[in-house]
Parts: sequence; C-alpha cells; structure tokens
Amino acid sequence: MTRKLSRRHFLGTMLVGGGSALLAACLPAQQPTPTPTPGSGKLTGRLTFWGHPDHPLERIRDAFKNEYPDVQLDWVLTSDYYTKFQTVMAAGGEGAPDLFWLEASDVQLYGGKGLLLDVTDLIEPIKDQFVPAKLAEAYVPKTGRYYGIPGDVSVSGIYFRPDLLEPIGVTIKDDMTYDEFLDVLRRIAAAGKKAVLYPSGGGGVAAAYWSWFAAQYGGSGVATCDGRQITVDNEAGIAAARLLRDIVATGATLNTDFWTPEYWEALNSERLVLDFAAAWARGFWETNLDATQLGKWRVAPLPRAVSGGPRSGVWGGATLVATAKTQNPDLAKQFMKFAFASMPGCQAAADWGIIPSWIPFLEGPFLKTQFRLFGDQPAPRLWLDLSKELSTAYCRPAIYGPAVDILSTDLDPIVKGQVTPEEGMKAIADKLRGILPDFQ
Amino acid sequence: MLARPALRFRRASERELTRPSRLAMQRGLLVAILCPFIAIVSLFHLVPFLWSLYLSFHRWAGVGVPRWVGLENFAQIVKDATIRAAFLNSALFILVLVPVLTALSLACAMLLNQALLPMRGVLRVLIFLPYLTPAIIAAVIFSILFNERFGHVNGMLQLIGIPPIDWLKTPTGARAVVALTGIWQVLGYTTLITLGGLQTLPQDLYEAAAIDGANAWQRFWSITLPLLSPTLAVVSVIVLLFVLNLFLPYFLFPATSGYGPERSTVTVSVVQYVYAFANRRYGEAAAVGCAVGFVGFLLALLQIRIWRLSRGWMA
Amino acid sequence: MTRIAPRSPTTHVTHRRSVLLTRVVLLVLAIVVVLPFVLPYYSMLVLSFMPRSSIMQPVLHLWPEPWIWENYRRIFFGEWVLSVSIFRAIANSFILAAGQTIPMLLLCSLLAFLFAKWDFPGRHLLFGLSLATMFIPYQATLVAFYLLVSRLGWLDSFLPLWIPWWVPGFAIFFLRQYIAASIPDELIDASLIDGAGILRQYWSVILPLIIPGLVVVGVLNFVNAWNDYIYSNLVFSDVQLYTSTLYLFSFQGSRIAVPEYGMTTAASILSSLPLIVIFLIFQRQIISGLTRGTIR
Repeated sequence: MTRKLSRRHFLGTMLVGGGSALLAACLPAQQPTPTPTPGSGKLTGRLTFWGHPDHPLERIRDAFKNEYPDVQLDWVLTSDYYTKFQTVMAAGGEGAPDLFWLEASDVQLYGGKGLLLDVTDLIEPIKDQFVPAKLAEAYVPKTGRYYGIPGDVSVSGIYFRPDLLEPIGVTIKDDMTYDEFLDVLRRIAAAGKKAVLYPSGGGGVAAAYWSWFAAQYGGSGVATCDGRQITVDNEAGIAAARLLRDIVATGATLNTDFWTPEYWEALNSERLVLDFAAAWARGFWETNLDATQLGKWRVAPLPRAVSGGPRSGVWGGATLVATAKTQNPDLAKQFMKFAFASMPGCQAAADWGIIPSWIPFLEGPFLKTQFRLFGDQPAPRLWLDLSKELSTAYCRPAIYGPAVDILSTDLDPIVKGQVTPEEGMKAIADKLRGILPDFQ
Repeated sequence: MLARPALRFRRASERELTRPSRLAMQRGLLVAILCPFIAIVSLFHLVPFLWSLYLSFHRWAGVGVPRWVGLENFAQIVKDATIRAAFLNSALFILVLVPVLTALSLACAMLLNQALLPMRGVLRVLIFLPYLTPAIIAAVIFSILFNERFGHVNGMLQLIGIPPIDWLKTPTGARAVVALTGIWQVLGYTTLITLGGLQTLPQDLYEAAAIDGANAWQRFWSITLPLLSPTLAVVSVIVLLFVLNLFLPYFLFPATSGYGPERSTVTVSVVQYVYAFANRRYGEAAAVGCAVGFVGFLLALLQIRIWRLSRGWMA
Repeated sequence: MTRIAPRSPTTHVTHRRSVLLTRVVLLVLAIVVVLPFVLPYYSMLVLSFMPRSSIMQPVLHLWPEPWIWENYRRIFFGEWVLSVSIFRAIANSFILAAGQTIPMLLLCSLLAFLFAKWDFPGRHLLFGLSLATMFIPYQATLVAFYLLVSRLGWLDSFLPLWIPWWVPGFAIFFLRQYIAASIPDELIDASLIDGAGILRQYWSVILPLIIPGLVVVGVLNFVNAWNDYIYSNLVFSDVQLYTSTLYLFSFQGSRIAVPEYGMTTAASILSSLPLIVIFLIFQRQIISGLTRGTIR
C-alpha cells in the first residue's frame, strides 16, 4: 500500500498536531491554596507529597482523609521521585512538594542548609515519646533544631527457620556472640544450606551489613554525628569489616541480592534458611513467599558484637519532613503529628509494614499485632525491645549517601582477603575525606 | 553598481537577488527564521552546557555554594576507580559494538534487500520493533531471558548440552548481556539506514562488473563498500552516540546501580547519573559529562574521516 | 520477424525450482536472523498474561500458565497505583510527541534548506553548533534545565517538552544532507527567476520534494519523544498529565522491589502499539526517505 503524502495531508496533520498542542497547553492554572484555620475544629487546605507507588504514606493519607475530609491531599507517586526531588532541591526548592519521606543523611544535608521546615515547636514537647535513636535522626546538630518527625524505626534482626535448623543441630539463641554465630554459619554451610547474603562485589548488601556491625561495635558509622570527621576507619569500622570477611569465609553466604527472583526462590525452596533482615522487610517476605512458608519463620535479635552492646542495627528508615518553602506549614505539621504521633496514623503505618517510632503506639496496639510470617511468636515485643537497644552513637550524616556507594564496591577486596581490614578501611576513609568538605 | 548582498544564493552563479528592498526583506526573513533557532539552542542547550562546564571545575553536593577545585574532577577520570572503569568499559563497548553493529547491519541489510526474499516488508518491521522499546523494558526482558536458573537462553543452551552460564553475575557474562541487549535494540535502526543506502546503489555498475568477470566477493569489496561508505559512516556515528548514552546497565543491574559485577558494566552515562543523583557528586559527574561530550565529538569526526579515507583505498 | 526459440520445458522448470529454492533459503536465513528480535517480544506477551507469582517461578515460560486477563483489565480501567487509565497516558504521549515533532519538522526543514542552499554570515558556525549539541550529555544539564523551566513557570505543562526540542542537531544534519542530495540547484535558480523569495521557495519547491526525508526524521523523533522518561518525570507532577512511559514506570512498585512483571509487560505492550502502528503506516516512506537522503 503506497500512501502518497500530499501537502494537504501534511498541512492537515500539522493543524491537528498544533490544535491538540494548543489544547493541552491551556491547562487549568494551579489553584491557590486556601489558608488552614487552626483550632477551629475543621481542617482545610492542600498538601502535596512525592513518593513511590505503594508507599506507607498512602495508607496514612487515607486515614487522615477519614478524619479531616476537607483537606486536599495530592500524592504524586512515581518511580524516580527521589531524583526529581533532588533536582528540584538543587535548583533551590521551587516546586518541591510540601511533604517528603527523606533519608536520614539527607535530613542532615538539607536541614543544615535551611531547605526543610523547622518543626522544633512540634517535636520538642513530645520528644520523649520517640525511640531515642530515631529522634536523633530528625535532629540536626549543626543548627540545633528538629526538621522532621521520626518515621520508621527500621530495626533489624535474624529471620530463620527453626524447623530446618534443628535437624542440623543449630539453635538460635536470643543472646549470642558473633563467634557463636560464625559457628552456626559453618554448621549451616556444612549441611549444604545457605545463610545470609553476599553477592559478588559486595554491593548494597555489604554496605548494609557493615553499617549494622559498625553500630554494634559502638562506632558512629561513617562519620561523627556532626558530619565533621570521617570515622569509617576507626576501631569499630575495622572490626565491622573484619566480621564481614569472617562471615563470608564460612562459605554459608548466598550469592544474590536482596529481593531478586533468586532470593525468593532460595527462600521458597528452603535453600536459604537464615538471613539478616529489617523489620519492614516482613511485608515483602509475606508477599513473595509461598503460602506454606507463612508461620514457619521466627525472628531473633542480631548477635552481640560487644558485651552489653545493641543486638540490632538500623537499616533504611526515613523521616517525614516538610520543605521550607511549603505554603502550608501548619497543616504540614498537623499531618506529621497525625502520621507518626497518633494512634490512627501509626496504625495505618504499621498496617503497611513499617514500625513507627512512637513509643505509646509501640507499647500499645502494636504489641497485639500478629505477623503471619512468624506464626505465634510475639515478634512485636522483640522489635520494641530491640528499638530501645539501638545505639544513639550511630549516625547517618550527610556524607552517608556517597559513603554507601564507596562501601558497596570497596569492601569486597577486604572480604576477599586482598587487603587487610585496616588497609581497606583506610583507603575508603581517604576517599571520603576528599569529598567531605562538600557535605558540611 | 550592485550592493554586495549579505544573503546570496550559494551557487557560484551571477544570479543574485538584485532589488535592494527585496534583499532587505530576505535579510529580515533570515533573521526571523534564525532567531528562534538561536534562542532555543542558546537557552536550553548552551546555557545548561555552560553551567555543567562551570560545575566541572567545582565540587557541589546539590546544596550551598560550589567549591572550586580546578582540574581535580578531571583527574578523577584516572584516579577514581569507578569513573576509570566507566571510561574503560565505554571504550570497550565502542571498540566492540561499532564494528560488530556496522558489519551486522550491512549483512542484514543485504539480506533484506534481496528481491527474492518473501515477506520483506514484514521482516523489516519486525527487525525495527526493538528500537521502539524503552531501555527499561528491554532490561526487564533480557534479565529474565538471561537468568541463570529460569532464563530462556540457558534453557535453550541446555537443549544442546551446554551447562548453564551465570550471565548476570560474572564480569564477562554481564558485559555480554549488555552488548547483546544493545545490539538487539539498535540493529533494526542501523539496518534500515544501511538498507536505504543499499537501495541507492546503481545497478549498472554491478552489471558492468559482472560482465567484466568479477565474482560476488570482488563486486562487494570494490563496488558496494566504497559506495556505501558514507552510509556506513553515519551508522558508525549513530552507534558511537548510542554507546556513549548507554544507560541500559542501570536497569539491568539495579542492585549495584548499574555498576555490574566488579564494575564491569558501568558506562560513562551510568556513572554520570549515579554520581550526580545517588552520590551527590555533581562536580565530578559534570566533569565526566564534559569530557565525554568533547571526546565523543572528536571520535565522531575521526570515524567520518576514517570512512572517507577507506573509500579512497577501496575504490 | 525474428522468432525467439522458446526455452525447453526442462530448463524452465529448473529455473523455477532454483528460484523457489533461493526463496526458501533466504526465508530460513531471514527467520534465523529475525527470530532473536522477536523472541523477547514473545516472552513479554507471554508474561503479560500471567500473574506475578507464576512469573517468579523458576521455570521456562513458553506459554502463559495460568492465563489471566487481570493485568490488562486493571490497566484499561485504571485499577492500579495511578488510578488513571492507560489510554489517558497514551493520549498524553501523543500530545507530547506530536507537539514536539510537527513544529520540529517545519523549523528544521526550513533551517536545513537555509544551510544547504543559502550563504550567510555565521552559516558554518551555526551548523557546527547545532551538530555539537548532539554530544552534550543530559545528566549534567538536568539541574540547570529544571531551574530554567521552573523560572519560566512551565512546570506541569507540555511546553518544556516541546520548545527546547524543536531544533535537534540530528534532524538539521540529516535534512541538510537530504536537501543537498536530492534538490538540484537548477530548481532554485528557476524559482529565483520567477521572483520567489526564501519562503516561497521553501513552501512550493522544497517541501513537496523532501516529504520522505521528513517522514524519516519525523518518525524517529516521534519515537524518541514518546519514550522520553527523564524530562517527563522532572516536569510532570500531575498524574493526569503522565505520559505512557511515566505510567509504565509506576509499576516499579515500592522502591525496594516488588516488581510487577505481568503488569509492566502488559502496559509496555499496550504503549508501544501506537508506535508500531505508526511505523507500519509510514514504512515505505521511511525506506524511501532513507534511500534518497544518503550522504554524498
């Protein structure tokens, strides 16, 4: 079929194209946000939020809408929302959303530069109601103010299958040392099973494990809490790297990344019988595992690195913030308080799978929750105890972001034995010291 | 005495626009046409480029004021292991993909040019389909296809007795997957361009050569290739641009932000994105970008020159 | 009257047989070549009719097992994350791509005409500038781009996805070559004698003759505009404006990984259908446009 494109046809297409272009350009202008009337009992106004699809804040939004139907909540859910947010903030913050679920390191970075809304007046009166380690993440030492409300407490532990471990003579105790744990790993490896992960090159898994161990050894992580000094190569950091190397040396680790199809397949086929995982990973596990797996898993604290030290580390766990240029600061604060310092908000968050840091909720309704994955084990009690144990010395200052990228490639030579932990961590520290001035 | 017009028809002919008023109108028109062009290019391409040039001499985390560091960011091209790997990998992909894709598209174009081939139209459409696919979809599909345990590729290899290859976890395997996915995406496009070039070749030359007793190989080497060299030059520049912008590894290896096993698949495009937006090292990313732009431009000129020269040798 | 001796029946038959054999061999060869191109699409098709749990099973999926319509149903009726139908997203993609491509074709062909056939100060500089823009990587310019766009007040509109892209270097380059190769100077001479100015020449002489070239550049640009993600993501926050690529990306699920393979493949098949149709319609013009536009 030969179609001769006549000029008339071309002109026609151009008109159609131009017409539709014109139509689309005549979009309704953004409505001006009405000012909220605080204290009058009825909340009105508009808030925007950027996040990923299937976000915990979606549930909280719905709960908030239930209580305050007159508030307009525009949630923008897209996959690459973080890049978008970063670009907008780098360009000065014009057009940023009112609310955002911000990583701890970025709270330090943006808060320190005045790009976030100061919510000290909201947090100060209720600060004792939050898990101390999480409260510290909303606090920026440089300015001495609070810039968000603590979100997910993000503790981590060991998920394991006692029914598969018992036959090979392994019991997971609530209070182990890492030496005992290494022994457990060797037994599991000898039985032909797998425990914990280590993908080739290390990747995000290595960086995450290192962070937990460094916190457990009493370190502050990659840098001091004021972000001024690199501590990745101090004693805690080196000990953490050494432990990582020893874990991989047992031969029990599975060569795959978090939440890949191979990961789920290894769990479903009962090849992977034990793993480190965050509390909020439970939701993913329940979605991706076979129904037969539910109820067979148990959770235990991480082994202790030092006697009396914490049996858990944080992984992820963001803070709910408002941007400094928001048009509705008071409404934003109301939302933040509802989300993570009220029962309905916290319940909505917990329904999604994250664990809010608000102690009244944790010691209340949360304790009664049953998790299908863990059968009849009172897991909430464990998470609550562990969150109280979290080290307040450990921090994620602004440089934590690029540090993770470096850790995810540069821990591997240590693990493979190509360099000693001291040398390897020193090399990482030197790299970080080179870029530290930009993250003050 | 005719005024020398600034705007004149380009042939070395004496026919020029004579009436001054006509000339002025034409000059005005010229300005009117060039203005939007210059405005758009300056505002939306030049200014951002100058901004990134500025950034490449500074360090900046996306907040506050950029810090001057002179040539330090450019030094990272050699000093920083990841940036170094990105340049090396991109160079490797260029060295492999440019000749391979050029040769493959020539072969496919010759095949699709055969008059006796049935269903030519359908086949042309099919070969072009992958170009319509966004990179992220291609990555999803190919990561399933090359999965070690349940991928189609290993499944088919097993049928002929080859043990499963761990494509996505070894450096060589990862590079192979990236290369194959890239070829899949772009071969249809380059084949069509080559096909277009093939169809302009004058048939009488072939007939004359056949009469002179030249065999198929000689006809190919002394007629087809030289006459096709401008088209093949375009194809190799397209492939060059494709590799320089290759962001596919980011979608294929999300767990390592596109670095791949042992940094085997990080490309200049990936490292720019990750360093800027994941690591907040905007300055270094900008330096990589400026270096890539500059080197890419030179490489393109080099490629065109090589094809021009080769035409002389082959004819 | 010469009489050409008819071929004997046997050679006629052998000739027909050898032609048939060649056709078969060529077809087999072509299928072998084309198969790897089509197989991934086939697997996409298969996965789009399967539920997530089955896709994750470590077996070779050659046929949807079990077969569900659920993925397509939810996309049609907007019963997924974004609560807009995919058709809305596809319409937005059309608006974006058309608004970018059509003005681009007019502007670039006019500019290409000027560059190819007319002399004026700065001609080489401007052409070189246009070419050089092809080599500017986008990552470093993203922040500056956003700053410009937000200062201009163009956020959440199609303008920043149209205007900056109306003079792409590749289009000007290609069309300039095309005009230089396929429009003899005599035609321009003749129209000059007739007293035609630049615009008249462009409209009456050039434009009708370069239609195939315009089709090539137009379709390629249309496809690229359709598949744009980075800039659309940056500019649009209003879900009603999401293009099909943004829609596709919404299936990524939580940042930490619950990939909805089934719905992703279904949505990507749907959103590439318009492109396939367009390519089918313009296929002949594209080939002929590529034919006549080669560089000399």
